[in-house]
Amino acid sequence: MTAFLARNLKRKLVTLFLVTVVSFLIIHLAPGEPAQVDPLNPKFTPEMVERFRRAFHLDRPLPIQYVLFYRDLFTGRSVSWKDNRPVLEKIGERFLNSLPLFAAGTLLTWTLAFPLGIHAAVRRGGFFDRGTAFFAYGFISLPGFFFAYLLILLVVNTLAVPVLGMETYGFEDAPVLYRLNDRLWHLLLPAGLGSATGIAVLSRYVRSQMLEVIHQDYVRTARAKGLPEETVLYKHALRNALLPFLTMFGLLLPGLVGGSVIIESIFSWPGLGRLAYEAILARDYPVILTLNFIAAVLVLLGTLLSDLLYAAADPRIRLE
Amino acid sequence: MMDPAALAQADDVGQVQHRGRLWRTFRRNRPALAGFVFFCAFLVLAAIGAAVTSGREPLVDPGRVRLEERLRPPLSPARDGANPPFLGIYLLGTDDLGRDLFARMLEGAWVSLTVGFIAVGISVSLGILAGGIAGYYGRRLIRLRHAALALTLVAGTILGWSGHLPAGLLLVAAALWAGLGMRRRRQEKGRPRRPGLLDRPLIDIDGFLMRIVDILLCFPSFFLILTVVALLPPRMITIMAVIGLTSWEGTARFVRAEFLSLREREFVDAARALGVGDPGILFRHMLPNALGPVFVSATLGVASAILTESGLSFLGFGVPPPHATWGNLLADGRRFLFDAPWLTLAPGSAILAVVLSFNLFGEGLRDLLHPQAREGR
Amino acid sequence: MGTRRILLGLPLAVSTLLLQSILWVPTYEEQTRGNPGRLEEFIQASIGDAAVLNPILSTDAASAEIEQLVFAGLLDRDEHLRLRGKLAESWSVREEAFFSVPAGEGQETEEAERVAALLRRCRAQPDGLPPEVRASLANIEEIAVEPPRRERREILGASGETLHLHLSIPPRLRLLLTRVDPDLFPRLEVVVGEGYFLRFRPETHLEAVPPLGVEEKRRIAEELLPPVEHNPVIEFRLRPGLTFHDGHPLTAEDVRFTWQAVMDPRNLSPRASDFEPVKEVRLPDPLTAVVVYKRLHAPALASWTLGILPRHRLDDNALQAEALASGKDPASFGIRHSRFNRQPVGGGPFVFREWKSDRHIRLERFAEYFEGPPEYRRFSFRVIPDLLTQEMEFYAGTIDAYAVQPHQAARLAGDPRFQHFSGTSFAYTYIGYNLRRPPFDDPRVRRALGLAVPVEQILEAVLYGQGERTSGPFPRQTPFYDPQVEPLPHDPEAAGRLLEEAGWRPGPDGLLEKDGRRLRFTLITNSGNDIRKSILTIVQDAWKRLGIEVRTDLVEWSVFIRERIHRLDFDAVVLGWSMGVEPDLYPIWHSSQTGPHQLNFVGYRHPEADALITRIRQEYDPDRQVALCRKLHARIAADQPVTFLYAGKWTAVLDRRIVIRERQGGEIHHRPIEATATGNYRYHFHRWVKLSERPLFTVQ
Repeated sequence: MTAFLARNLKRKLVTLFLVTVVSFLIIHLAPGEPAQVDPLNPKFTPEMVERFRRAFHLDRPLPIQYVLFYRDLFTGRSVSWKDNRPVLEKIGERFLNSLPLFAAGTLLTWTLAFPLGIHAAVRRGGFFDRGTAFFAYGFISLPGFFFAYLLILLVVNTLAVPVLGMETYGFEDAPVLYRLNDRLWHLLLPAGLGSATGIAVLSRYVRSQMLEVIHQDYVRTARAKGLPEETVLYKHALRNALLPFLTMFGLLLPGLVGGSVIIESIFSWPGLGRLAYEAILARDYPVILTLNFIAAVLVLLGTLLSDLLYAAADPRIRLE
Repeated sequence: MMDPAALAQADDVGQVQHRGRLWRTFRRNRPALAGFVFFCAFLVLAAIGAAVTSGREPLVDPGRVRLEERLRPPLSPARDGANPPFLGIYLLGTDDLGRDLFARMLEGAWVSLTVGFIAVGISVSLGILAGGIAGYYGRRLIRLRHAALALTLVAGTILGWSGHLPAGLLLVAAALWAGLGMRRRRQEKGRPRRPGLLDRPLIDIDGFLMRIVDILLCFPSFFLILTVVALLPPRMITIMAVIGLTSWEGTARFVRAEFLSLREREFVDAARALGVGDPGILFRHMLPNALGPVFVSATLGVASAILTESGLSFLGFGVPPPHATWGNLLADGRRFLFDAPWLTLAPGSAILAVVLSFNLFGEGLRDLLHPQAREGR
Repeated sequence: MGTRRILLGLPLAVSTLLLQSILWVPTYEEQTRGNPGRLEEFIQASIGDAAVLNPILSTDAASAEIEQLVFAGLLDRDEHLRLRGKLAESWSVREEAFFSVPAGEGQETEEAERVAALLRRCRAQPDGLPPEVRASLANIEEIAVEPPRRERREILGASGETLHLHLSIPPRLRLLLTRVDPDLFPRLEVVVGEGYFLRFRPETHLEAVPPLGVEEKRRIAEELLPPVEHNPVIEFRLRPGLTFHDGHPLTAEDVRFTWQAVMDPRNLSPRASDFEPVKEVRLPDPLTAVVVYKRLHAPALASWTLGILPRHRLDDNALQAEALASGKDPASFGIRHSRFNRQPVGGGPFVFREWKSDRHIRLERFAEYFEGPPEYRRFSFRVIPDLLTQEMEFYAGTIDAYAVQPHQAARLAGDPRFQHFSGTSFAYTYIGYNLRRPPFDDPRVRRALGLAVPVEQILEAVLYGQGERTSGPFPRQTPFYDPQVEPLPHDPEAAGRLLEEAGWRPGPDGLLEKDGRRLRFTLITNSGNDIRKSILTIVQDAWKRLGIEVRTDLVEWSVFIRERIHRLDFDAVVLGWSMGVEPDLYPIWHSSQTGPHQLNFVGYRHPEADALITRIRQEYDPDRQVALCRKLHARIAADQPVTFLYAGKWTAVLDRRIVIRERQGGEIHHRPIEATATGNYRYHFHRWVKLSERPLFTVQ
């Protein structure tokens, strides 16, 4: 176990290092001025631009820039090139905004996908199965922003309630319960949209897992023993069908710094996705690279976690 | 034991008989069949679109600007007699520059399809290549000399690219010479050689490729696409390449798995016993057996590439004009959602229909080839 | 059965929890009509967040909008775009002019006294002198001789070594002028003799260790000891009793501090080029700031519209304290890193309250504002990144102003709930040609291309009439724009004839050719701008009809600038310039600015234009400046280095319930909002107020 962990960690650290190098190269080999320089503003004389480049170490050779950048990142000193704020502070702030969206989306996905998938599998070929299949493929196939606009138009026109932003603007003085529910409401549409594809994909996957398990020998044995159908399905079949999904819990981690630019833009949600997008447009290298770094760490942690979970759940697997 | 040649042949025969049965099963899966019909219809539509909208004097010109006819609703007759649209009617209305939306949708059909297919083509070929190598040659070792060779080659190319042409060329030439030398020495069999420093094994090929996949997985894919597309000049080929280059890991993984199991199968041993070389075994015997799932994932991949392109268009990084894709038609149309809803609805429903049909068709195929498909998307 | 119940119950519970929340949410109706507080708040929507709320650091439009409300400058612009005092009660411009006398060793003092006496005599008895010389002499208030002195300096040489300089500054004449006179020295030559000032040899007064080459020495000497020197002086008188939002008095000290902050190299202020010509700021008393310039620089005055920073918050002591408190390195801690940029304190009409990144910025009115507090109690700036949802929110009444798109303007104009304003913006859009490359080096080709562009159609179709034709480089609503200069007509036939004249004739396939070469080039613009994209399409179509093979390309902004514009690697571009009120065209049109990374990337060179541009920069007299600008306008229009397309119009839509409140004595009455002559509808913003009912105004 420890040996496995040590080997795995070492391997992951090497991967992480390579990721930092690759992302650094991708970004620095591409053209673009640092964020604060407006190249078509006459006030930015070439000397001025040169001073900016010096201040941001852009005049140094790439390897040195690399070292300087990651030194600043680890000591918490790197600042955004756009507004000089510490990168970690900026990311932290957005992270707190993204978190409820991620939590609500995940909750919706995982609570809805399983019943839908299981039910569809049980009634294979029935009306319910076909119906969920149709909607699932529909959700997978709609361009997200098209769907979002249709939904917003529908809600705004029929219910006349605000849907944009994290809460109704100017509602800060309302009682706590109102504010809480207001926030929940604002979560509903973006989280629902964000999870629609997830629900569709996951429920199909659950369905196929269930189907596979239902035809296994032990399920047949259980049925033959005369156990009630419910017990057979929900106890014997489900537990084994769920095994692969355990690994997916680990893979949820990277979603923490994800977030869809498109949904966040449409719903005016100040989340991490938009931060990243704006950073890319503004060539705010510290923000881009830091986000990338955090994402990579989470991916690696997530895979590690899912390996461990799988081993813990499946006695056939030993970590060596 | 069976005659190896007969065994290898029996496998092919079995496949042919298999096909007829497959088709019958497929026909029973109605959504998949509908998907397939749509899929074919779309291919035909795209072909027609390519035929009538390209060339110097196209039959319907998607680029023709008629400013006095802008934002006309669908089915309105053309007022301008000089450059009439198809049938003299704007079947799907006109956009903000008075271009015929029908013509643009036709053009979009084949451009979108091209984007989807080439992106997936890139991704699938890369996936097969990487997965195949990892699966078949996986246990061969990469030694220090190989790494050094590759590094020299890369460094030389970069140097040559960035203006130091002679130095770069020198490095590349040195690398090639060293590489040839290595090859020659390998062919001189029998001469025992003391393994030197340069022969230190670093990692096996399988490990190496999987490491690359690990690295790629560390980048959130839409984020990566966006970064690269924002940084590179906007060409259709860039977008196709980027979508393709960021989505090959899945294919690589299961091609590898497939090859790992196939290489242990009897018919491969049989072929090898008959003296078939590596390429022959790979392409003639193993690849056809691994192609089924690849085909499924390619079909689904085309659908998701079309969606990705529309998402990029929304952010302003899609396929640049003058090419129309359904994605950028949809993204451009949204500005006029209140003034001209048809500009959003037409491409929106077209994308929905096509992606849906690709998905249904792909899933149907999967059910067919792997009744107990394990692959999630 | 437990599992099954959980499987059904959990999703039901989650969905119910989320769905019931709608019952608690205020509807649009409750937020707008049913909410009296809403009337006292002005909510502005923006696509992007502000970056830095500090007038010396910010460059983005969103930040500028907030800064205008939070900070106040010494000056601002009145209804007719003329400068007027804001924090400054009044100001005056004078000049100190210097010259050194050419004379042999040891005779300089005598010579200086002689010339001073001569000038005094001529000023007293100007008979026989030409009238302009007389005017220049009459403008001289005082003539004095500065005694000679010695000075030592150390500067960095060309190759980075330290140079020790010994300057023996000869006696110089100091002339005090009542107003700035750029022609002073040429006119004085009439009195002291032709070429008199040029006879002074600065290099003879300079010793350098280690010694320098002749050219190098002359260059440095001329820089340190110019034969003649104009030092314009602006004296600002501040209003008494001004305070910052935190109650700290605002004095001339803060004015000087603001200049120092801009010039501090640690701050990397983008305003530095505006204030670089300032030599010093003297403070004779707490309410007077005297700004002395190194040289003639007519845009100087307008640069003082810059918001004044509070010294007590940002000087070295304050910054050190902040650095220590937040655990940062005090040595490298500058204004750039200060908290101030997110919690600004200024002297403007609104007090900063709150900034939630990418959500909103809230301001509250400043009760002690010197012009009287604004009528609106709060100003809010909401970030809504999607244009379509902005529009929806505007309809719902939860925002008061948003960026109206041209195609929406036409629809909103018909809505009785809204009043709308439109005016010409200070920006214009053009097609620029790379004049270094054929065929654009031929003015006939440029004119032909311009003639072929259907600008009227672009205005009509792409901008929905929200634009005006323009024929030159100045904003249309400033006096510098010469309405006499006609824009190019749309005349494809004339264009064809011109091209034929220039040697381009249709080949066998109908495409134009000259000496076997096709007329083909690429027209590019940046991506992300729908209007430019449409222009690209229309122009490509129009030029194709002439038989020109035009390719088009959209390039992402940073790449566009860095790879194409800065490297001068383009044929033709569609771009826009956003102009200030000041008529300074030096960076964009002067021939010295045509290199890579400079802004005259089209490569326009014309000696006459160069002379005019330099002169306009030195002309402090508004009327003469206008005359010079109009000449320049005509010159550039005649050369057609670019095809001037149009100046865009902005449209603003407001609820009709927003009016101007007038208080006269104890009486209050309302009148509708009117845009000023130059189109600024926000000019009276501090007196705006929103009524609960739509007012009825009789037509006046």
